[in-house]
Amino acid sequence: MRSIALSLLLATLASCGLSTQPTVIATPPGFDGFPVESSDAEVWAEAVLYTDHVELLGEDLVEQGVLPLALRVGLVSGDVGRLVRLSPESFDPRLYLPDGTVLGAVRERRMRSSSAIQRAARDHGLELTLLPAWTAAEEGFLFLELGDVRVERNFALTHRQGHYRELDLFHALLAFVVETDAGPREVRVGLRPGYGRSRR
Amino acid sequence: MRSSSLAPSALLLALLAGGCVSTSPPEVEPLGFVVPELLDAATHARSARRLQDLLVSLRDQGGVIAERQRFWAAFLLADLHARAADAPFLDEPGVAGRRPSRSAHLVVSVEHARLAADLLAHRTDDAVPAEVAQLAPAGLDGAREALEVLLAVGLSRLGFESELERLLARRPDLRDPDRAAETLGNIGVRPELAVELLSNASRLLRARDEPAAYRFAILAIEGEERFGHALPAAEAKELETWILSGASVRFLCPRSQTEYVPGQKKSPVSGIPHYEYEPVER
Repeated sequence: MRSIALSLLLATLASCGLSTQPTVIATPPGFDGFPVESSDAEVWAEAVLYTDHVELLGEDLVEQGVLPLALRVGLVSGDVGRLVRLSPESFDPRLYLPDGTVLGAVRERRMRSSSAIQRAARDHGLELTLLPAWTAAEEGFLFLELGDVRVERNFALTHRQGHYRELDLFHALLAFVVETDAGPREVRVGLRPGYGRSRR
Repeated sequence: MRSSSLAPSALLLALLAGGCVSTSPPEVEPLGFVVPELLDAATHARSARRLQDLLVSLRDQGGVIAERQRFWAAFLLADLHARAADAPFLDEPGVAGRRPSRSAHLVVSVEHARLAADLLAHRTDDAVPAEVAQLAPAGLDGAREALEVLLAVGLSRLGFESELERLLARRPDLRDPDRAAETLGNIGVRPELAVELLSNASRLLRARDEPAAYRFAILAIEGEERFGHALPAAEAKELETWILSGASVRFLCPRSQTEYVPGQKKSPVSGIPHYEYEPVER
């Protein structure tokens, strides 16, 4: 599976006019990635990389240079009286890849330029609002700008410091900001795999 | 009779041989690449690139030398990025444009610490070349332990405590504030990382062992005097706030009953160091 994914990546590179013989640094096999339980004691988050997102969203966003990630966020205690929320102004999602590349949210202008991204955001986007109890929290998608990064299933190929590097996206770390009554706070969580057909 | 006459000379030969080994150890081949100056933050970006280039060039090479070089390149990259987290050269997108990224460095450090641990597990020789001897004063076993600390602290700095929790559970000598500093020194953990570990251990232990959490906090707060590296001011303040108002007990001088005072090291009355203060019910 891994070699197939890499071959597809190389084919993509070729079609982009990039070198077809990249020097690829492998990723450590003994690393299972960052914990999929979020770093915050009050806010629980679950980030899912659906490798077959086309089935869920009806669009191949990766082809358009966008990586969709599903996120479910809620309060651990169910104390919904606490004012903890996701705010469009401060949410600021970032995906840290293992080579130091960081993917940020798709910008508004870019969003407006693609009807496919707009549709996906409208129909499946994560609701940025007051956080409910974890049990009532629903999954929604956030959309990250891939830039020069190529993605096939859970593998990414980055071009950094003159080298291409094959990265396992399950070694990446997602960070975003929640607003609490004590101020903004960053929540971090590793990615877990998801499969569209089995999605609840 | 015959055997008894031979025995002393055989023993003498063995002793001589042993003596030869201990006085002139086998030469370890040089590492074969220039070890970057990790203390110099200004050269971190360039050093990271060189080490990354080296990993690429060694990608398909087999043999003991390449294996050794790969391990040390990954080890050095993990350490370099952990240091660079305090003076980032990597950046990330933000609402107001690109900004320096501490987290990007920590993620890269964790990845390379894992890579180095993998490579170490498959190493077939245990030689430590002279160029990196100061990074592993306790040999490769020490390097393995230093990697465990690097990984646990890196994850902890990103907010994930489970690796540090496992490390402390596994290592009673690190879990005991009276022995932790010496253990970290023996492993060869550098001062910045040692102070960071003590500070994170303090936070981790608050919920279940407040006296130990207090002592770890004092060790971290007094990092400058004890290890030659000061804890960042914001982290020191957070530890002090916990000591003064967050803990369920008060920490008092056992003789003068004076309370912990930020900025001081001992009781102004009895001269007993803060580290030796004892918990008393609030």
